[in-house]
Amino acid sequence: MKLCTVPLTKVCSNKNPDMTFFNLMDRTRIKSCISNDRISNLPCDIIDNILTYLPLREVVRTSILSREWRYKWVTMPYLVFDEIFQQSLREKYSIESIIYQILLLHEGPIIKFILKDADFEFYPAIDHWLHFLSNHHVEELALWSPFSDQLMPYHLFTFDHLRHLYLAHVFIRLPHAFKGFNKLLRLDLVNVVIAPADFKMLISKCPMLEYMDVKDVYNDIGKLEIDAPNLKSFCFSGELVLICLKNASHLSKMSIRTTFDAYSTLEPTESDRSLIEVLGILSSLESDGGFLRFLAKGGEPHNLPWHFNHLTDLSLSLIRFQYIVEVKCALCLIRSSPNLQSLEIESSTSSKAEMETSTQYLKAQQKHKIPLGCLKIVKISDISGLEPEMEFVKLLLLKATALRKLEVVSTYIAKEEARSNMLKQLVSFHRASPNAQIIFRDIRYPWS
Amino acid sequence: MIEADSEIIKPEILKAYVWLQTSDGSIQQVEQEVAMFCPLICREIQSGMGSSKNYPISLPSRVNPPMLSLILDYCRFHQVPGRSNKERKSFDEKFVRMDTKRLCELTSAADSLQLKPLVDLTSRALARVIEGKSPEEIREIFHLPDDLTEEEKLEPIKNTMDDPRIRLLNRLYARKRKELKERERLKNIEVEEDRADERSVDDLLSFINGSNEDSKANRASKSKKKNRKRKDHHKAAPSNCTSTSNSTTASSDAVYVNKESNELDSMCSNPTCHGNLLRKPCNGTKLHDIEDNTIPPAEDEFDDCDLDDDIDPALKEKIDREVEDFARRLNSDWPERMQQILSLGQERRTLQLTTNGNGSLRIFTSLDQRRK
Repeated sequence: MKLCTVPLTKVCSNKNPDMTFFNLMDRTRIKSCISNDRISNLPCDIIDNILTYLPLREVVRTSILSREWRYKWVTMPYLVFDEIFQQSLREKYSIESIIYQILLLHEGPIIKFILKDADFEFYPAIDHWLHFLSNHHVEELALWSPFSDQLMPYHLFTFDHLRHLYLAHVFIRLPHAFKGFNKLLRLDLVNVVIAPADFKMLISKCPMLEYMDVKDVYNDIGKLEIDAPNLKSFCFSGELVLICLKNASHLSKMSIRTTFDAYSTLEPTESDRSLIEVLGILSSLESDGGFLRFLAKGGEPHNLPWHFNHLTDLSLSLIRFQYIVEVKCALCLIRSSPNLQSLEIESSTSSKAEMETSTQYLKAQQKHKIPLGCLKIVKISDISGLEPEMEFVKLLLLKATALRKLEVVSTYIAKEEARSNMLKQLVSFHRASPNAQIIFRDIRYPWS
Repeated sequence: MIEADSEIIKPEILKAYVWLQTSDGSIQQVEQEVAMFCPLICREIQSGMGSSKNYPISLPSRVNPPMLSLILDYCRFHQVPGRSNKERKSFDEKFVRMDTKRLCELTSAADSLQLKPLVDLTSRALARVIEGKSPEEIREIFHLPDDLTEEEKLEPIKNTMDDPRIRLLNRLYARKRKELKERERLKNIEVEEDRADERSVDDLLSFINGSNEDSKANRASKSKKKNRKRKDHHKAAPSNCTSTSNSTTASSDAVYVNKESNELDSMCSNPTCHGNLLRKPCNGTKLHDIEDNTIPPAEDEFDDCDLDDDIDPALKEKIDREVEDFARRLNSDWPERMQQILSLGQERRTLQLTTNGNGSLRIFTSLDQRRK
């Protein structure tokens, strides 16, 4: 790794005619420039503020503007090494050398340090960088490891001022002396490997945590115990068996997407009751077919014993309309949410399955009462005009008295005829709401 | 929205007004609710000022009458609570359409009134002006003097501490760099041979002494670094030089900077004389140092990868020093550092650095002043 000759300024060397030394004429010209120059005399924190709105490469480029500006950039507190920055690098400079140089030249607190989508040697650089940064009052740290399962150095756990932590493709092992992130508000973990006990400790030591997003968890995390009293939003996607949310009185948004039907065979236990109670205070829920069945107790409920009065946004993905269980669960959930305002359903129905039972059930539902008085926006995607799907849409249109917009996004339909049939059907359905507008989109032309 | 109603019914009677005085002495009468949008004015009002013409709120000097009227326009629009985000955004977009000179003045004025939303708005607008433009264009727009020499533009940016030295040296050696490099290469061969001999007596001693001080001085810094440096010393030829740099930080930099002052005094003299002068304290490695401006700042520290054997020993010494600065900075306390940064921000030329235990920094300041 050759660190020599990595002149940052070389990146944009200009082609001015040679101006070797000052002569008298230049000096007077420069003097007049200085009197017109307004920007260089702004206070340095304002200049830092201006520079924070620029991409990092442009920020460093300001160092060749003039003598005054040579070191104005070094106190800029945001260091963002993202795709934009890397695109601007020329091939012969490695990202590690650039980061080392910038870190060394930098002065003052580094509030934001973001390193994403970079291909670099994780070790030993990350060890040095984190050690350096731990003294620099970092509030927002995002690290994206180039390869999976890289162990995070323990320096990470000494960042006391951290408010937002984003880690991807790493392996976390908490040190015994971990004191916690007292100011952490937001935690994003993508494809992170962490032992269940460590995860529990991590969450319990972040008392201010408000937003948590755990994605692509593929190791066996077992039971997820989350004790976060200030948590407002919790998102999870990956392989999961059980979630246990304690003291989640502020939780308003939850999103759970599992990769397989972990729940279909489970019966809810005592500890899961807490999860279901949590649903009662949610205002936004995103879920998928498997989890849905769990919520509906895996059986075939007609009505859930609870009312989700706060639920205003519901998003259900991967609903397989051919399975009557899923249809029933979805309807059950919808029925229990009288204040629902926005509904989004993504279908994952295979066209070759047998659909009669679902269709009949849905037809029968038309006679029943479904409180959809607040429903304003509905989006149904990935449907291909199959019977149960169309029945569902029909049902919604029939019952939603306040509906304003219904967006239907179809999946790829080979036959033109089938598509136009679907359109005709949609238009022909009776609408309970006079203001309802139906927007039809083809997946091939999402902007039409 | 009671005020809005009263606006229609009784235009001036129910509204409260405050008096503001700008730097040029002129006094203006402004609706209180509009002026209250600025935190500074708000505080002044709460402490009782501005209620009459005789006791106007005197605004900071950076706020002149045209800027004040712009700011008041902004406040007048935004203090109305009923506006939608879309409306506010489109107002903002139109508001910042002005020439960059006024944008800068407006930013300055808004900052002095502590009106953060407006400062952010104008800063973003200025950033948009800067973004995507070439340096020449930016210089033209903001009337920045093009006062860096070509060499300075091309060379890598150094640690701030080195700045005046590099600039000075650039001026001196810009023309003669190629000749010097050749001379250096010749000297290098000679010097290395010399070095092999000299190292035997004095230098080993100083190395040993140096390493003793090392353990006291650098205890705070990473032990890894120290070990690596020691290893490197064995590898590199001018081990004595690196060791002197590793010894108590103040002294080493004092030594180094003193060499600087020597250079300064004999600025006009022949470059070779310079070389000789410098060679006295430390075996001529300084020359390589000065000549070769393409120095990696932190090569030595991060050692697991291949160490280039091509690098001059002089470079290594320079690296060590920079690494020390780095370590010192890492280990210094925050309040002192913040003071440092603030004072750095005030004037880059005459750095009034607080005592950070850095003898070198103090010397740096005096050096700078001497130049003036």
